[in-house]
Amino acid sequence: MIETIAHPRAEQPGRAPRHVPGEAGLWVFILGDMTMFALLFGAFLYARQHQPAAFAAGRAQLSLAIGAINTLVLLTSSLLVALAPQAHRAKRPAAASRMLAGAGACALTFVALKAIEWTTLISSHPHLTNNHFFAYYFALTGLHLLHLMLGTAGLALVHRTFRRGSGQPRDRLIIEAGCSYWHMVDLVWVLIFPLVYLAST
Amino acid sequence: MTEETPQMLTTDPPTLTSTERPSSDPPLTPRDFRAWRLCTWAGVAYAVTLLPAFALLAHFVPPPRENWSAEHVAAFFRGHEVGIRLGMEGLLMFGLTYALLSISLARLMTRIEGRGGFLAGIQLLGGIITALITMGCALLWLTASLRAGSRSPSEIQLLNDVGWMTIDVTIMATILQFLAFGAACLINDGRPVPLFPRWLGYLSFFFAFEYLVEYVMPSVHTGPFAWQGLLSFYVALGTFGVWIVTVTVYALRAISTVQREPAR
Repeated sequence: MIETIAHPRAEQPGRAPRHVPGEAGLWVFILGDMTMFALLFGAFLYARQHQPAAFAAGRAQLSLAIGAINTLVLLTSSLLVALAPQAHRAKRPAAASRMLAGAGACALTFVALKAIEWTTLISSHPHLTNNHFFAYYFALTGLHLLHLMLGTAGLALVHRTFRRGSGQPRDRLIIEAGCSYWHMVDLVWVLIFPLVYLAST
Repeated sequence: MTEETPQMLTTDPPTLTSTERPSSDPPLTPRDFRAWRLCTWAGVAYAVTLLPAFALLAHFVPPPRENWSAEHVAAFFRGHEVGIRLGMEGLLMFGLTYALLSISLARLMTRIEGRGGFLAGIQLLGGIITALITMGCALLWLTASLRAGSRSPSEIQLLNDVGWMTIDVTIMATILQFLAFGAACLINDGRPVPLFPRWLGYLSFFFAFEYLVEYVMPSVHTGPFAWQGLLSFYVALGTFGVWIVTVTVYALRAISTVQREPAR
């Protein structure tokens, strides 16, 4: 899923040591973050087991269409984020920049749709968070949204690195870290969508 | 620049120009290094005071639940009146030691980012506010325990509520501190061995992100997000303790590194 970029050792497959995208420490953060989401998913499932009716009723109020479109939007963005470093490595900076801009547009679309979804829910049900399903719904989607915003800032940083093209070793770190993080944001959503929007008890 | 001789024990710090950073810190005396190490250990003092004061004296592990009735909360405070009072007084006495650790870290961060850097100041701000919040919450619980026998249950519940609410939703100060510290760990300052390992920076980022779950607390009264919950309470306290101990170990090591570095 994650491409290595212009790494000298990566050009000799077979003999080369395995390359960690970004750097090893980055994965302390990414895997730690994913562990946190895993705990949240566990808590969600546990609560759902105890209140199946409330959770089913809450799920019925969500807009499946917005959830599905947002899933497609994020999957598209992940594809672009996977392709952009390849284009950058193939010395096609304009294409790489365009792909990243496309991923950024996907991120904005996601945020806009999420805003519509939230405002609709809140305005029609002002006491929503007294319901356990919606407490979890806002917790999961809200935390994911914060991660997505940070990931978008990361993509902007990658974009700037592409445009500068200074070829420093630091560039590779920024590109790989930004892209890896974005894939995590996407992965978490791909888990939230079936769990919250689709699955029934 | 005659002040830059190693014997400057009593002279003023040399005037610094922007081009001289980060290598032109004034030389520190052995006494300064002792104070620096003491400030670092103060963080451990905070951790080892907080835990027994919280758990053993006040019986706040697990805390009075978010979903308890006023009568239930009042009975808890009446039952543990003396323990809560002593525990909270302990927190008030030692709360500021956390800020001392932040001062030590800020000095180390200045050695990484240079005197023009902003991260040290942001970290210090977050650390000081975190210490003050601990003390503010202790003050609320202390007040709840005062006259617990004659105070109405709803007043005790209110003070208890405000205390737990405050300690959870003001976590942004700690998040800011962790983010600034983490960012400084990722700066390449040209040292062959960095003062703090890069993974410690990423670990700080992870912990900072984990603390965001505190903002779910007001919406749920039970489960892992409630103030007595697995994530809001146990994981948050645990990671906070791990951070303090880990950072202290590496800070002490970094101070020794700074002490061994030739005066530049």
